[in-house]
Amino acid sequence: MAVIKLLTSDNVIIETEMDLIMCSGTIKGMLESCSGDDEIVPLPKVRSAILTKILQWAQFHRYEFADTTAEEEAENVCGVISPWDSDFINVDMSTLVELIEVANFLNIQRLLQLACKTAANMIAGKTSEDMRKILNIKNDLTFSEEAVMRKESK
Amino acid sequence: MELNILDLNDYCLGSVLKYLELEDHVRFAQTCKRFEEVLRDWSPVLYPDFRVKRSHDTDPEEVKWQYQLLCILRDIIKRLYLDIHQEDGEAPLSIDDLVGQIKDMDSLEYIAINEGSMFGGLMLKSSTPRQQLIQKVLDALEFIPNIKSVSVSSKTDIYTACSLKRMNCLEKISIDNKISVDDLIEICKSNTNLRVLWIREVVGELSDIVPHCQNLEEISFPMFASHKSYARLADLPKLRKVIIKSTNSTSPCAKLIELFDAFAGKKQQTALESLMLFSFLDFDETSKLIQLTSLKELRCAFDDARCIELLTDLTELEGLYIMLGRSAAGSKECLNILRSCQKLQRLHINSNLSVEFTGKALEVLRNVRIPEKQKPLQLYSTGVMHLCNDEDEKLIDNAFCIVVNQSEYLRALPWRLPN
Repeated sequence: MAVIKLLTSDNVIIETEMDLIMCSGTIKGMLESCSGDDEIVPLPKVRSAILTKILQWAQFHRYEFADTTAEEEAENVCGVISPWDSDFINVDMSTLVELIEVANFLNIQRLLQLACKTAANMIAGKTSEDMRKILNIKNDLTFSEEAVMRKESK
Repeated sequence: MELNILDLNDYCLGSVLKYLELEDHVRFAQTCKRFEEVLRDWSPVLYPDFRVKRSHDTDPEEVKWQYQLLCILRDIIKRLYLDIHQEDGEAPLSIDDLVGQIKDMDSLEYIAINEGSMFGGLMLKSSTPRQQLIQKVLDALEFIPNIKSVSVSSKTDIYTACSLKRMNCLEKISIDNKISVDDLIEICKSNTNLRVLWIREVVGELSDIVPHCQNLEEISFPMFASHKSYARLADLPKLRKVIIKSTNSTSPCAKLIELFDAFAGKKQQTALESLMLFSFLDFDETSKLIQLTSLKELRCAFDDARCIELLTDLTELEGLYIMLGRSAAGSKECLNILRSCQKLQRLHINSNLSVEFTGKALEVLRNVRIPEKQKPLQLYSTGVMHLCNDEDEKLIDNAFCIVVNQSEYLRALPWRLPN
């Protein structure tokens, strides 16, 4: 089994089986464009802790990717989150944001969907004020802007 | 390092939005400025057709959220679909508020207005709130700078005509109710760039519009016994596409044949390349049709599979869509089409052509086509759909033929204009 070395942003080299990381469109593309064996693929935007977690996810799903194209996956908008996935994605806000960022950078559509769906579930049905609390963001709308929105929402 | 959701780029935030409902989108946008911008940026993806729906069973809460979203996206919405089925009575939202928003829709290019009613036209009075709404919306269209396309299905036909006459930059119009030819002429005169006209029932002689719509590229209409002739349509210099929704006389239909003859007579001048016929053609009619040898696209319906054989004369065809009254026929004829119409890119037929047919078709295609220069033929036929399995497209031999499992061309014609 072919092995590939990945260099993370915190300078850790992680070895993984080639076909496991092929779920990442980005890495797949990088490998197609370079030919040398035993090369180290630098991932300057990915921390080793997150990469390890992503590999854990890829390991669990490794035999599911066979026949689906990126387009089909993109269409799979609804659908339930499996118990394993929901356990996997039960992380703090900061990690969830990082997973979204990295899944997007590595172009792993299914993981991106899972993480985005999870973020969406956290704020679905909540008021704007609750959303701010959950997501820890400040209200930067001016008083008059908010007044307009209130008026319009009547 | 603690990460915040605001650290995500717009694409990722938009990917979260895909999993949320309309009312969540509103509250999301009201959370902070960045979120509002992201929602606005993503609105063409999330709401390609902004739909305001009001019916007797629409939840008033839903109407409220729709309206708020409209307020947030007002100036960037390009396509608006008003679906007003509401029974007259108390409205959860004031008409003037809604119309006020529509007046400010500076980017609006397309509007479709549908007035449905459970009672039909007889019960309606022009003073009902629903009709007031539609009239006011039609009036508001005058204030919208970029509007190019209007589709109306409403009982307020006189009002519709009046407001369309006042406009002058429309390029596409669909009127799904009765209209007099005099009104239609006025509309054509003021909207000099009219390119697409779909109509349902014209009182008076339809072809009287011909001198006034010289830029027309597409027309859709039903043939009526009360109209004398349609032959003058062949004089329209830019007309590329003709859609005939129905003919109400029995075959052979003299007016249809006359129209075919008229186009054939103008062979050098006409731009006609697409003909969509929704009524059945008999052998005589088809024999006349095939004079139009420059046709690139044809939709037609037959009871007699021998008619298909005649189409082999149309060697310029790129798209051919056939409804067949008798299924499980036409296999031999279709093979002949493939032999002679070598430019064909799409063959859609609602017949039970067998798997054996696809084998023979491949044989023919291999002989007549050059895969290096031509895309594979797209084939739709009810008999070979199982070859598609669960996937959208199944290749038989990807160089020569692709089987698809649906055909938009064989469906009924909608009343509102597509893109």
